[in-house]
Amino acid sequence: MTVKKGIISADLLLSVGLALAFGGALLQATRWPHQASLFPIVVGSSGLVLAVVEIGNHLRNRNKPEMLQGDQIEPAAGLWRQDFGTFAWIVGILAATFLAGFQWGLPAVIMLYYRFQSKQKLFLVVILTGLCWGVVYAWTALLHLTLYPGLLARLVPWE
Amino acid sequence: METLQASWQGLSVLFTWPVFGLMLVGTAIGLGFGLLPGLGGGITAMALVLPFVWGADPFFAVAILAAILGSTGTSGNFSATLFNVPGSPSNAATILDAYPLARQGQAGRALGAAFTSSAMGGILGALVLALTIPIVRPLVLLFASPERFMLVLMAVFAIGALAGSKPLRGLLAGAVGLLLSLIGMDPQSGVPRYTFDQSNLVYGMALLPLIMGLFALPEVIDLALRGRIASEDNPVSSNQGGVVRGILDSFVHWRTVLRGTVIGIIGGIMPAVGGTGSAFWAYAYEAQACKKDGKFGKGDIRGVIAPETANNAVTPGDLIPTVAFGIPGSAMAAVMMAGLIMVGITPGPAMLKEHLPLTFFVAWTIAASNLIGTAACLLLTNPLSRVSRVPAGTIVPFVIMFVFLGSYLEQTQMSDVVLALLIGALGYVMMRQSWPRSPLLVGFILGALAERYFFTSYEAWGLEFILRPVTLILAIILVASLIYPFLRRPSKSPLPGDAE
Repeated sequence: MTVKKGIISADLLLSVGLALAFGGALLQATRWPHQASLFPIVVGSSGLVLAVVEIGNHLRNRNKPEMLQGDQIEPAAGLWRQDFGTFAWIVGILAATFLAGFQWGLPAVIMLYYRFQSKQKLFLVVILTGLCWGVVYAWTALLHLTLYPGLLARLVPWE
Repeated sequence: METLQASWQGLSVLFTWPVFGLMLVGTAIGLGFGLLPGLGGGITAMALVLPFVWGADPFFAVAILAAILGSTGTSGNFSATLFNVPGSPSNAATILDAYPLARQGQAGRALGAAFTSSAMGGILGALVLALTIPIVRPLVLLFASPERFMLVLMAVFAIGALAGSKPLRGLLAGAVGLLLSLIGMDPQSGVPRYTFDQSNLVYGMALLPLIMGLFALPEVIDLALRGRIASEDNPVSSNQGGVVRGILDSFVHWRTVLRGTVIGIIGGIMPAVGGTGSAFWAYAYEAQACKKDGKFGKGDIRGVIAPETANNAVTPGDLIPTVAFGIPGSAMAAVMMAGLIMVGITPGPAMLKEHLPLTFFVAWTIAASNLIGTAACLLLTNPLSRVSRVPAGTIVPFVIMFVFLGSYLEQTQMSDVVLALLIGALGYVMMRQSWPRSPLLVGFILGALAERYFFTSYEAWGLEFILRPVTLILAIILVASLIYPFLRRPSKSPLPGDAE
């Protein structure tokens, strides 16, 4: 299956981002002593050249339809929006962990995920969330870890 | 004599407690991840298990990781045969004949043949790995820094150039990996590099968030989007009646098994070919060799045996350059190498010199997990095939939770969880746009070694180190492997790296 590429695509943005990263890395490396900068300069300059060539390739072939490879997904309208939706849930889980820690924040948002995103029955939601909580508990016990307690626990030390 | 002793020692450790139990756990995890298509197979399983092996006894860690490596490909046959969905990318070629066989009411036969040939490929491959160690050991120990530097460059850039149909992207991914490996204090001069005044970056970027972000998170986002694991459209019954016939088929077609094993081992040793590439290679070779009497694509049992033998023989083949030279040829081998580094073992000459029993232990564990995994699949065909129907929505939050916990573990810092998320975003875009991710990981793991070997060589020989005979030969091979992908005709069929 082929798909027509636009002028600005995820590929181009990724290549430009990498070119900027390599350029920045190269610039910073020039400020270090010779011994510390030699390898970063080699890597930075090679990466920059590769990224610029990739950008050039993309711009040169921008009007050619591209063959979809392997299990690559056809970029249908709204697909990126769905990606962002899923990614937003992951960011939400992270935010809750920051706020309420691994032991409470993480299972709480996972419970919301089960209820509203994967639309599970209430009793399954309770069981699966309990299982998540149990895994976090077992994790800390098995690995003798002190997990991040969350900002709220620092502000309101209830334990 | 020393080698034989080490080999025996490695084998005897496998049958001690808790090592054997851990190998069983690893086999169960590998089978589980193979059963669940869309989870990325063994690489995701290994990435999620890494936090648990952190700082463990090397034999304990290897027992779990090598068992996952050995068993994932076997259980991927369930969904490949019954649902027309490969359990892991390396089972993709199996679909071509296994699913037609299943639709003809011969699912049991296809499964029996697939499991048996998987075990044969894995065990024969592991034996080759064990036999190769004493041969390559003296050779590897002769290599000095310049040759090792060249080998590291070959690992990063040859994988990059050969992975997928767009070599430039692979090279770029390798360069990104090298760049990320430079973060932290320079070991030679003590200058902090790319740390942005963040104290948690002074000792470098943590490995676990990178692996979790690069491999586990993109797979889980993709899985969440698809909503279900295996297609429920026209699932076929796993008619167990033909299982014995399938087992016998693998022995009747022993030439196919041997050909598949050889192709798998070669595919494993060659950078970037991997399980998927080798399985298709074995399938194509078999279809060509049996052109006259074959019904390939319509339900020929040899079309199941060849790719399944090859994709399980790949794993030990893949580990030959990893344990011998410390250069992983695929993402799975790179994660295995990361696991070894986490428990204080550096694969390569040092491992062959100081940890020879452990090196053999890797081979024996792969062989044992193949055997046990196959026995479990044959005995529990019906219950295991039901696991493939677990809804994705049930699994996704668990995987996310393990990604978060695993990323946090290495340095117990929340910033690492954020890092995993950022790398996950990059990894997902790379996956969506068919950019190979394994060169990035290989570059990151080998970056520090590359710099160290480069400096040692430079200080001892100056830039003339490149003119040492073996270094020069390796340099020529490297340049050739970089140029070759740009010269080959564009392929219409996906290349190994595309299906990564």
